[in-house]
Amino acid sequence: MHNFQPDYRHILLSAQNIETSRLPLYEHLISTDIMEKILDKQFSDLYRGDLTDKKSYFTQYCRFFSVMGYDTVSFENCIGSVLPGGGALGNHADPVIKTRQDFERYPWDEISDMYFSKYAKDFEALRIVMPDGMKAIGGPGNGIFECVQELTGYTGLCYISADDPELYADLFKKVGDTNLAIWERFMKEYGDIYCVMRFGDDLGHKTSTLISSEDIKSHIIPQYKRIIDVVHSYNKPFLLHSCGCIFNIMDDLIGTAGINAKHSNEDQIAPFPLWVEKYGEQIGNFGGIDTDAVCRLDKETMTEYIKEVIHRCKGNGGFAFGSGNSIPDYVPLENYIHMVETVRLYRGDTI
Amino acid sequence: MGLLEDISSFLQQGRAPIVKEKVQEALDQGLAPQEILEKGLLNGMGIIGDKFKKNEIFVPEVLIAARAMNAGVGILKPHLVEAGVESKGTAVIGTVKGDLHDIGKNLVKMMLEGKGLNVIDLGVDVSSEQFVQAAIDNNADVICCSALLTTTMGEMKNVVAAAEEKGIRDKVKIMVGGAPITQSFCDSIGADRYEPDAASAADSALAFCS
Repeated sequence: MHNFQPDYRHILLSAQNIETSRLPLYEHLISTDIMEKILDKQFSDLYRGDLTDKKSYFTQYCRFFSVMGYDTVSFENCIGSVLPGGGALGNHADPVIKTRQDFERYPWDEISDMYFSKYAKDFEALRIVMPDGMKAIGGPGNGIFECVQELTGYTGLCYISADDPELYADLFKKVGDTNLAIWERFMKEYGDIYCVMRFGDDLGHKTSTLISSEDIKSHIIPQYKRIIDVVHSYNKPFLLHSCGCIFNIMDDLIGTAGINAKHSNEDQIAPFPLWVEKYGEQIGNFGGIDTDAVCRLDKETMTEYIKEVIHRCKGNGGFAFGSGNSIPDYVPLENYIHMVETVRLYRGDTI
Repeated sequence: MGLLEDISSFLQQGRAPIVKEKVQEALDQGLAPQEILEKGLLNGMGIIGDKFKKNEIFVPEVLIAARAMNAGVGILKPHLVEAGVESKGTAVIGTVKGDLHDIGKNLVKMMLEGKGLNVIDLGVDVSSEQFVQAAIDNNADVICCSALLTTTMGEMKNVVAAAEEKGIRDKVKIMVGGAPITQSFCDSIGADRYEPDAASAADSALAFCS
């Protein structure tokens, strides 16, 4: 499945909402287990090594994307993972910030240095081994909402919203300041590795947003805008990955925050073509087949599903195709491969 | 406005300290604990549930109201026990094995409590055997299984099978919910009910208990 020449300009155009001659493939994340199985080579342990090991790791990592027909490498390092005392969102940790006192003594000013101290070598290694024609999509992962929740937990944040509205507002502002500092330095030092900048910030659940649309507009979107303005100052588009039913804030994400593209779709909320039909005139849309469908559909049904989605999306601006979210290790390998091959056959790749 | 309406109203606003005060005041005035529970606390939580179902409010309002309800119930509980008031039923709830997501599960739990049900929360990563054993131990009317991940959905089928194996399938209803769950999936595994949101799930659970 090779002789593919990646060309990141395809996905760059998609993010800029221009339909491309070759439909790009895209995933938010792909499990390294899946990568190792497809490449028939174990390499994930190299990530924990020195720069030489990391270069070997990213060589295989990039090779996977190239072998599978992607124009770009999805790669991010999450800000949440360096937050001291974090983990209240992802790891069920006890929230480190519950009160104003916790907030005041939190080491906000150290976080940016912590981030680069932990992850600079990753980005350096990625830059060195990036194949010709490829660039990365990603950057510092985790948006404002997720970072706040890493410190307070979701329930804790909801309680703070009622008990101490001033602290509630300050949390978003402070995380906004911290993340902005990371993004400013990131764009300066590593922006050249990337063609499309991105963070993930899950704002919705099955039927609505996780906090009120008013709170998102007041506290989160202004912080997004600050970061996205920096991204735009480097002439790069910004892709927001956000799960859930977020229709009530889409106009603000597009009009105020200035996102250029959006990823994530779940069929139970809205199939991908609906997102494309609704927002295709304004932003690029990334996604396609619900991850659940990748897991469950037989090959014939999946082929029809994918063709139908692509057919409905064409002529509505830029889009890139892949799962509605990611390819975690529980996705059956043969189903993932079938999804990719279906798209590649559609676009005329020799596989 | 009457005291019970006050309790309902302050609960809907999520003002836990005032709800506690008002519940104590109602007790001091000699109102029956069951009346305070039904017409004050559960009434308020019921209104919150309806508003959430209609997308008129968001999850934080539900959580804050539920916290206020729990504050009121804390004051009321010894009096309910003393008066011999029983819960409307018992539900066992948890996120299925392999899955650590619990926001949705916690929301359903609060809604169930808001309906006056006794809820046994098994937490996350709960095996089918644990669900069924807890249902047996607590003489539960309903088992509520939550999942966020596509792969962990399969564990729900094991819960149905385990309930059959232990001979309690005709005594307990099994409800399923979570982001990837659909009615067709519910039907395919032989569960009794799928609901798309927490408030509807609580309505169905209560109906199963009555």
